Amino acid sequence: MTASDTWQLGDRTLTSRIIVGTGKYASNDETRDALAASGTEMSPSRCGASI
Amino acid sequence: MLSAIDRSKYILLPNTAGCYTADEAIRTLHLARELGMDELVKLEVIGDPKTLFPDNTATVEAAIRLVKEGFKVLPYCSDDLVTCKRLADAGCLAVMPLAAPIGSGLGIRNPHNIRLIIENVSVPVIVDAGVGTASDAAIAMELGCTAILMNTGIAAAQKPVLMAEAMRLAVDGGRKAFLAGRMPRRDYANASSPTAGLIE
Repeated sequence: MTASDTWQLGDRTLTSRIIVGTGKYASNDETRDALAASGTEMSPSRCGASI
Repeated sequence: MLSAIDRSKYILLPNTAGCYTADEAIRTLHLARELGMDELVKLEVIGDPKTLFPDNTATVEAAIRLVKEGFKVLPYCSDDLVTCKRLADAGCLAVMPLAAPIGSGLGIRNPHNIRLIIENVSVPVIVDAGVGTASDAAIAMELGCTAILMNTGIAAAQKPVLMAEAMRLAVDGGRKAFLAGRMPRRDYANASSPTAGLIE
C-alpha cells in the first residue's frame, strides 16, 4: 500500500509527504543529514538576497 | 545555501520568503527563473512583520500573474477557505495554509479550518508553518492534508536529525491513520472484551 500511496503535484509524482526547508541549521552537514532523515524529495530555498 | 543541497536528489523550490509585496515576490521569482531554477515555486507574501502572517490579497494577486506567466505556484496563505478557493481558482497547483505562525511551533491552531479547506478545495492542501513536533505533523495528516512543509520544527529541535526522522514517521503514521479511518468518538466506555458467552 505504502509504495502506491503517491501524490501528484502538476506533472510530478511524489512519494514523500514532507517538504523540508533548509534554514536555521547549525551547519551544512546537519542540513544534509536532516533532509536525508526526513525522507523529503523537495525543499524550498529562499531566493533573492541569498543567491 | 544552495550548495548544501544535492540538486540531483531534491526538487528545489524557489521561495519568496521575506517579500512584502506582489511585485517584490514576482521579481524574485523572475530572478530565480533567470538563474535556471524550476518553474515550480513557493509564493510567500508577508503582510505583518511580527506574526509573519501572509498578505492574502497580495498573494492572490501575485498568484494570478505568476500562473499567467507559466509558473507552477504553491502559495503560503492563511487557514482561510475563501482565500484558498481563490488561489485554487487562480490555477495554483496546491494551497499551503499555515497551521500557526512561521517558526512558532504552536501546532495546528485551527483543525476545523484546515478540514474545511481540505473538504472544499480541489487541489492538494499542504500545511505550511507551525508544526512544532511529531504529534502536530500526525494531526495534520490525520485531518487529510496531502503533505506538510516544515523547517523550524526540525532545525530548532535539540537533535534536528532525530527530529527529522520523527517527523517522517509521524507523517507516515498520520497518513495511514487517515486512510484507515479512525473509530468514532464515544462519550462512554464500550468494553473491548466480549460480554456474551462468559461463565456465569
